[in-house]
This record gives sequence, C-alpha cells and structure tokens, in this order.
Amino acid sequence: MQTITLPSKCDRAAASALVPEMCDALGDHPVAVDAAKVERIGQAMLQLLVSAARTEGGIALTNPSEPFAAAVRLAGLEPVLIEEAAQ
Amino acid sequence: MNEDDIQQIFFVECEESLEAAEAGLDACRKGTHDDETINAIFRAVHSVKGGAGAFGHLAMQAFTHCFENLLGEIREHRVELTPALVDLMLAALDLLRDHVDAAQSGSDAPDDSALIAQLEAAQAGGAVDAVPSPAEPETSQASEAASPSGGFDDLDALLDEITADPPAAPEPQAAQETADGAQEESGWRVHVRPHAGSMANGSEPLLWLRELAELGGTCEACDVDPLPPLDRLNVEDGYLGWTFRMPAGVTREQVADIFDFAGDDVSIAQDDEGMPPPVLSETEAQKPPRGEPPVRPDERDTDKPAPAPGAPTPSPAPAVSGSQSVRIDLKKLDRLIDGVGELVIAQSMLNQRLSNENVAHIEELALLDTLVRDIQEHAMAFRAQPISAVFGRVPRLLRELAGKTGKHVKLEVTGETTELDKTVIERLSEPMTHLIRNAVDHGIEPAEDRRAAGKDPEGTLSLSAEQKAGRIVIRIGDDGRGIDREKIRAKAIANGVIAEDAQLSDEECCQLVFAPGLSTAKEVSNISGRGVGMDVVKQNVKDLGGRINIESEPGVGTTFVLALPLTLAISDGMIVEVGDQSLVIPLTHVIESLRPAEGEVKGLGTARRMLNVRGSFVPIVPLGAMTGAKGWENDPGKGVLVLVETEGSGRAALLVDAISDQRQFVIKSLDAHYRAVDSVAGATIMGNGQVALIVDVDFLVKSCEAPVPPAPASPEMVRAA
Repeated sequence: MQTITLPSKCDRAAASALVPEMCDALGDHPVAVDAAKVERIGQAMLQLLVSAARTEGGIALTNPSEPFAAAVRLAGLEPVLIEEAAQ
Repeated sequence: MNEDDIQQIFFVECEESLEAAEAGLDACRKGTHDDETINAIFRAVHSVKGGAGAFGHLAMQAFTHCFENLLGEIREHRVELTPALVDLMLAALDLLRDHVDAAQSGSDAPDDSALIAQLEAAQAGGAVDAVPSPAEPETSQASEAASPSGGFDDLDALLDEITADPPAAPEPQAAQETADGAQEESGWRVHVRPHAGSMANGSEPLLWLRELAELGGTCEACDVDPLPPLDRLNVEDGYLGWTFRMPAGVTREQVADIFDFAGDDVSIAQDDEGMPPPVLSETEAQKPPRGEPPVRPDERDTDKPAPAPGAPTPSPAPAVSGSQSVRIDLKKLDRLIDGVGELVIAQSMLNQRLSNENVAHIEELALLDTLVRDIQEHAMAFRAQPISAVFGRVPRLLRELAGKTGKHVKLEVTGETTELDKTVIERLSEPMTHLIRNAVDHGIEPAEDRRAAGKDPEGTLSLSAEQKAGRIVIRIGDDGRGIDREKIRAKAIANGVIAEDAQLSDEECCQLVFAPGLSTAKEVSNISGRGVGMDVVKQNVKDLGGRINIESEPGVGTTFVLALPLTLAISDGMIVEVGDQSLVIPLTHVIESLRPAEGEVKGLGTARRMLNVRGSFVPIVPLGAMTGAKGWENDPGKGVLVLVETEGSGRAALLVDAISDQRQFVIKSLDAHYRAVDSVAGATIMGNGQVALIVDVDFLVKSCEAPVPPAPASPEMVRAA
C-alpha cells in the first residue's frame, strides 16, 4: 500500500502541492496517510484529506501527531477522518 | 496572491488596527470611553494577534496575547481601568507598533520582557480583586494556563494546547451536554460558514474555531457536504462549515467579537437559523455549471446564495474576494501617471493644432477632452491617501515628547480623512514632525507657567486638514505662549538677518523664524534641535509646491498653516500673454479676471496702483515688470487684470496683456532642468511646443509688497523661458 507522508507544516501551499500526488495515489484501496510529522495544519489540508477520504478507495490515517489530532478534534472531523478510516 | 502579498495586507490592516487601538486608548485617557471602546481596543489587538500567529511572528503573537489577556480582564471589569493602566497600555501599544515594524522590516523583534511582566502584573493585580463569575474566570484561567506568556510556538501549537483538553475550558453544563441529546437545556448554537474565498484572503478558519473553543464552545458538527471529490477540489477555496455549541454564559456579543475582523469572509448564524449556505469564490462562481457542481446543487442553481438572517452580507462582496483590491508596484503607478501627464500635453497640443486649422470645435475633441480629464482624475485618485497616515503617528510622538519634556499635551484632530497625494503625504511627515516637536518644546509652556497664566496645565495641540480651493490646508496649532516677536526680531538683528531699522509687520516678524541662521541649533534643545531648522521645514513645504504661514498671538498660541497642492503633477492654469511671453497662472489662485472701468484704478504713492474691486482696494502687480518681457502693457485700462488670492498676502490684481486660454498643464520642475528661480513655480510645455513659465503667485505678490519691488527674477525668467 502506498503511503503519503504529510509534511510538518500543512498549510495551503502544502495542500496544493499534495493534490496531484493524492490524485495519482487514490484507487480501489485506501491510501495510507502518515500524519506523524504534522506540527501545524490549517483548513486547506484538512479538507483535502476529507475530500480524499470520500473519493474512490479513500485514505487511512496513520500515526496522527498530537497537533494533527487536536486540529481534527477542534474541527469536528474525527468522525470523518479518524473513525471512518478506522472502520 | 501569494503569502507575501497577503502578509502585506496584514501589515496594512495592522496599521489600521493600531490606529483604532490608539484612538480607543486616547478616549480612555480622556475619560470618554465606554464598554464599546474597550471592545474596540480588544478587537484591534486581537486582530493583530491573529495575523501575527498566521504569519509566524511569534514574538509579536506572544506579546499581543499578554496585551489581549489584560484587555480581556478590563473588558470583563475584573481589572479597573486607572490612568496608570492606560499609560501602561499606551506603552504596550507603542511596543506593539515596534513589533509590527520589526516584522515588516525583517529585523529582530524588540525586547518586550519588561513590558510583558508589567502587563501580566497588571492583569494579575486585577484578578486578585476580581469576584469570580461562574463561567469566564475559569475559561480565562484555563487559557492562561494553556498558554503561558511567550510560551506558545505557533498557530497550530496553540490549536493543540487548546484542543487537547477541550472539556476543561467549558463550564460544567457545557461538559455534561456532550454525552447525550439533552442539549436543548443549556447553551446555544452558532453556525460558522467561512466563505469560499476566505483562505485566499488570508483568513484561517481554524483560528476562529480555536477562539470558540477558548470560550468553551464544542464542535457539534462539521458540514462536509459541499466538499467535492478530490479531482474537482480547489485547495484555495474553503468548503466546510461548523456548528458549535456555546455555553449559556457566553454571550452573542462575545462570539460576534471573534468574527469582528473576519469582515466579509464568513457567514454566522445562530441556533435554528441553520447553517448559512456556502458562498462561492469568484473563480468557482464563474465556472460554467457542470453535471456535479462542487457545492450543493440547490445552492448553485440560485443566482444569489440566500443570506442567513443576521449574517454578514454574503453577496456580492464576498463572492468577489480577491478582486476587491489589486496591489500595484508604485513605480508602475508612477509610470502610468507620467504617461497621463504626457497624454494631457499631447491632447493640449492636438487642441492647439486643430484650433490653428479652425477645426477646434468638433464633437470628438470635446469627448477626448472629457476622457483625458477623467483618466487624469482616476489616475490621481490611485495615489490619494488619507492624511491620517501622518496624523496617526502624532500621538506616539507626543508621548515621547511628554517623556522628555514632562509636558503632557492633549491632541485634537479634525479632517483626518482628507486625502492627498501619496508623495505629498510621505514628504509631509518630516516637516510636520519638526513643527510638532517645536510646538511642544517651545510653544507650549511648562505646567506651572500655564497654571500661573490661568491656563489648563495640559497643553493642547490641534491638527486639522481640509480641502480648500483646490489645495489642502493643514493647520498645526498649539495653545502655548505664542511667538515673542520682539525676541525674534532682536535675534534676527543680532544674526544679521534683518537690518536694525527694518520695519516689519507682525506677520513678517513671525516669518523670521523660517530665516536660515535664526532657527537652527543655537537655542533649541535636543527635542527640536535635531539639525532640521525651521528654514528646512519651509523649504520642504515649498518643495511640495506648498506654502507655510504662521498665525500667532502672544499668550494664546501659535498655528502653522500649510497650504499644499492636491497633486504634484497636473494642474489647471490660465495662460496669459505678457509682452512677448506666455505665462501660466495656476487656476487655484485665480478669483476672476476683469477690465477696470474708468476710475477704478487709483495711484498710491509714487509707483503703486490700487484697483477698486467692489469697494475693496487690492494692489495691482504688473507681471511684465517682473518678467522683463518686452513690449508689455502697463495701462490697466488696456490690459486685463487677473484677481488672485494668495496665502498670506491677501488679494492682488495681476496686470497682463491678454488671457489666451485656460487649460490643464503638466508641471515640470525648473530645478530639475535649470535651477530654482524665485517667482517661478515651474514650467510647462504648451500645446504649440513652447515652454511657458508658471508664475509663483504667492511669492510674486509678496515680493511686491516690499517698499522697493525687488524684481529679482527678471533676467533669469527671460533666460529660463
């Protein structure tokens, strides 16, 4: 399974840069997304992940860093990003 | 728009926020504040903090955080607003300005440790006395504990700290409602829909959510429905919306404050108003409809997204995010304005040529004339800025001066929205600063002297700006001791500036302060004697095409009156013929032109003549005598008199042979092409390609007031022409 590693600074620029890679990677099976390095994250990256999670085979988040998890909690996206991915 | 561009906008907004905070604190100092004033200061500081975090200016963010905490306590009336506290906050504001300047210039952040300690002490001092209220103190303490001063690393570390323990912040009833459906019993809902273009505008919606969480809010739901599949996702656009449940103790106003500086970037709704519909960004809105649009189809099908009640106006403004302003390199703008100047000349030449061919009165030419004038006006408007850019710096200057001189000065400002050319604004700062230093240092007396004179021990500096007869008139006044004319006169005689027996009017005496050699270093302190004499101030103003006059009354005060042109490039003028020359009289000076009837011209003394204009006499100034032109008409009955108004010398009637035209002219500096000549404000190129000199009306009339008209410019004017 292909793994995409999120950078430490997940701002708009990082999200823009990630779109082609994510589009290429998405297929029948979930794409692993490693969020261990994430220190900062904004809405752009979060919604990119949600969109990816709802496209084709979706994504499977692994190793969410604490800042990443906190931002996901804050934005109420746990059901979409964490729980759905876990199922 | 890249991050740097957005950051530049942040700096512009910082300036506005700092001004707003300054105005609020000034009101606090005067005791004219209310709760809204404190709110406004809070919002301003908060807005700077948000941007500082978003752009990684951590020191600034940490400092604003402390400042904001203190303001929060004051807002909640847990800390009493004393004059000493206002002074502390003013100092904090000055330091915040230094932070912004440092961030902008990329230099090291200023040392704020001492001030942070003071802010924290002030905040803590209030907290001790505060009566704990059920909800907010806990929230406040929780956020304090979560973010010790200067301790947070960046925006998302903040997110982390706050969201790591969200149940700790909310009040008890908010915590218990997370479990099941008993949510209707307490608290209320706020629906937040950032507009699609909000991120492109530099907003980070998660910051708003963090603020909601800080108040004890919890996210109930995130609306992800508008989010398109990845292949149609535009990462620049925001698609999500949130519903937060706020504790009952949190007011609507507190939540509204969070979004106060979000402008048109977000729609807010409450409780059962439901989630506001998505607002498209311009790029999305312009895309042709597709089979599966990126936002909910029912919304796409409507022309305008229906705004939720109470939401900020969602259309059309939000839908055009990114196109409301365009940043342009100033050089490009100047090239455009230069081009417009040349266009005006070319159009004028065309006019002249067609006039020579007797086809001047054609419809297309009139249309062209209107268009050129419109373009010129619009081009000039690009460069117009409110004078508040200069006035806004004055409070800090006064505080610095108060620290050095011990003189506390109140500031009264009017007309700060008056607009003038950016170049004028930039070059106005230095002379104005000097005049203000001078007013505080020399004009306004020490408090004891003022008390003894029966005045308010605090002096007053008044600044005003207004547009008057095509010029901007700026007044800088103090209520100090006024200019001691005898002292000035004695000094001028001692320094050889004037002869001992010189007969000077009061105004001429005052004008002596501008004489070189009189106002420099010798008697001035380290406040106003920084190597810039008053003569340099006058030269600065003159270089701007302006005039400076003094109105001073002993014991009452002194006012410096600066009259400046609206723009430095293009002006309207009256083309007059004098002997074998054409001259331009700037239209801003012209009141009327007339041919005197018999008996309206009276002789005065041996050489001077006066014109009776409806009962008042004005001196006649023959332009020919000043220019050295050949064959000019000296008989007012045969020539034309142009009645002009001057700054400082009243009215005068300029005697010319004839008026040939009235048109726009582009001012070319004589200094740049030849050298400065008295009585000449510049030159312009006429429609026929000839150079015509622009008359410096003020200087000319003033020089004719002297007992012996000096006519210094005559040979030079001829040569220059």
